[in-house]
Amino acid sequence: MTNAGGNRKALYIVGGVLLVVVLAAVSYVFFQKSPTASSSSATYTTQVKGAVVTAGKAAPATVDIYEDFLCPICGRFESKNGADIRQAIADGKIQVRYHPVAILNRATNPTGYSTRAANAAICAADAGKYAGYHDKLFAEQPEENSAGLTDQELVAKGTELGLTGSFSSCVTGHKHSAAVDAATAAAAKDTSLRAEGKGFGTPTVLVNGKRVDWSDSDWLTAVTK
Amino acid sequence: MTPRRLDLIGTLARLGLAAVFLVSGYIKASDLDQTYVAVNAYQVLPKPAVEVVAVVLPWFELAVGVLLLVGVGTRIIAVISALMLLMFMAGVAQAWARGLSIDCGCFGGGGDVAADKTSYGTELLRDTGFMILAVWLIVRPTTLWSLDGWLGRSDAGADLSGEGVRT
Repeated sequence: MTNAGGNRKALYIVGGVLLVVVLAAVSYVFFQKSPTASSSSATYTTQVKGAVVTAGKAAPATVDIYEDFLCPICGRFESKNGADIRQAIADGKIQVRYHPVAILNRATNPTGYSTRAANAAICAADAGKYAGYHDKLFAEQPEENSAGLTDQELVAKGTELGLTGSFSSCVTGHKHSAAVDAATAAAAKDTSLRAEGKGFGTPTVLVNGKRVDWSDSDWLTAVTK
Repeated sequence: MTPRRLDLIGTLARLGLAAVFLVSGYIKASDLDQTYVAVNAYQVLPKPAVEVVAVVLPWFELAVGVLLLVGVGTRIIAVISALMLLMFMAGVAQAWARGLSIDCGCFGGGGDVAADKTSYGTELLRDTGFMILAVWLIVRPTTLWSLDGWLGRSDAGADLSGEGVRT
């Protein structure tokens, strides 16, 4: 049944090819630049309408960003692009419409962190500190299937940024939660936000109304150049 | 069924499985960030390991696809394919069991999706189909137009008909 010599020959070819491929890929990982975790302190103004936070003034390009504060991929997106986006808004190159949505509400215990975090972020926008609060929530993002953050913890994160007064009652009173949930439901139904045959996922990024492949690391420079 | 006909079925299984890995590997390799997204979404590996797997996996799939296409070490490659499919299915199953809302990212895409947009059952069923192809080739790796045949041998050929050499 077996032919030892032939088996060995095939084994060498197979093993050799796979070993080379794996070694090449692994060395690629170690030689490529790791994503920068650089932060930006550039500032911009925001306007809140419903559950949409518009960042910066009218600009040549409008970018729509749909994010769930619990979504780990949104965390990856932010760690790679957040600082550049913040700078581009401050430079007046883009205006960003942030859509804090909540598709992962059931992924925390107790459920609902996504909605509460989105609510808190909009509360921060009300108080004029969206940029810092948004970045902080992603930088200190809780894991999926964890407890998330309580309203008190969300308030405390704001306090660290100097958010006081009505911010606290806005967070604990869930002032924008209904709007967030309505916006999430609307986004899930909007076929322009997803690829054919795919569900609505986060992050979803649109440039001038057209969905872009944000995983292409040049997507933002293509807009701001 | 004649050995020739069984060879033909095996050939279709080999080329079919090759196509699966070439396509899935190509899509993953051409969008490595998205692949990172997809691997990370399974929430199995720590982030540094995700970085490595997200780069290695696409090229590994492509290599397996090419080796299947040329038909070298068919049985070994079929075993590796089956192990990969088992790993994929375990990944999807654990995501399902843990209540994650992800797209498997099997052929591109991947990442978190809305809770009612998952399709774990379909994904597992599809992988099961691929698994059948792999199992066929493990049991009976003799196929037509294979490098194994050209090398003058094939694992299962000798005991069936003595027609080990097939081109």
